[in-house]
Amino acid sequence: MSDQNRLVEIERKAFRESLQDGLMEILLGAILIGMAAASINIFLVVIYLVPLIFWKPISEAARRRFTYQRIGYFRLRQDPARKVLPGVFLYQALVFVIIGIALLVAFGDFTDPSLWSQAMPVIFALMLVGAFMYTAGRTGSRRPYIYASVSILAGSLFSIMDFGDLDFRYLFGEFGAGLVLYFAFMGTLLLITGIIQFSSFMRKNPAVPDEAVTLNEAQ
Amino acid sequence: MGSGEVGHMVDPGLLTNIDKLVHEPARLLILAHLFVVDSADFLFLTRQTGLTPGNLSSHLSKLEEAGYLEIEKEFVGKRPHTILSLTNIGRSAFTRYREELEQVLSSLPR
Repeated sequence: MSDQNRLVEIERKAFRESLQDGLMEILLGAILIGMAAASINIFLVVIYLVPLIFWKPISEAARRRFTYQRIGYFRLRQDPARKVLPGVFLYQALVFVIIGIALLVAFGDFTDPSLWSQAMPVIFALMLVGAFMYTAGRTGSRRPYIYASVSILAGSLFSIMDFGDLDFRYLFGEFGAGLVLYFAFMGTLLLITGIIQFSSFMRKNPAVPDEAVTLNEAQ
Repeated sequence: MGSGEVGHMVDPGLLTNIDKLVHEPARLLILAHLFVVDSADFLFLTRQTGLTPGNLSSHLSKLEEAGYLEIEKEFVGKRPHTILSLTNIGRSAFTRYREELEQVLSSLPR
């Protein structure tokens, strides 16, 4: 293994460590469940807006409380926004192009808004896949691939299933029940796996004594 | 192949250029871990490198003396917390070390 590969592996290991507490899954799961709940009652939008807007301070506070005292503190080097954002926008555009082509092939039309509404679960599923693939690339972990596969399967399934005229009103428009069920399903899955991971993390990594004690013991 | 022949192939200048402070295995491990993160604390480095706290502490002091490391002390509640990060000098030294080692290795016969 070349030294460059070794450094990449060290970086991936650090990234994996940062995700082993399950807190990211719990937060993402809460956001998705909140998105499903918001379709039932618009006031429940707060469930997903709060973690969405305050993602960084919430996750940092939770890590200070639970993670750092167990596995240590570290701040990963972030890719600069100007490097990441073009890729994100390009990926999102690609998703819409792919869905447009799929609609054209399947229904001979991609201009009908009801077809796009029907395809919303798979569109959101593909958006999430992008995030999971990015995480998989940075961590070298297989778990995000599993989430990505489940996301695509659930998104496709909820897109093709017929729920009649059952529609839900969102802040950003009216969509079929498939989208709500997709959010609820993925949110619950992520929340449950996150909680299991968090419990396992807490059990496997007891809090380490004060740094001062550790250092004094070393002298 | 005799050792004399190898001596002819490796430019001794390349070897003497190698930064001895970085070349020490434990310090190389510390630098490699700090190179890929923005900053980290003592506990993280102990777990990742497998070094004992005493050993780690002594290597960190040497790296700090050379200006390769920045050590920041803070309190989280009543707990002392030490945050470590590579300085620009440390980053350059590590990068330079990798390049020099690469040169030495590539000058060896396959």
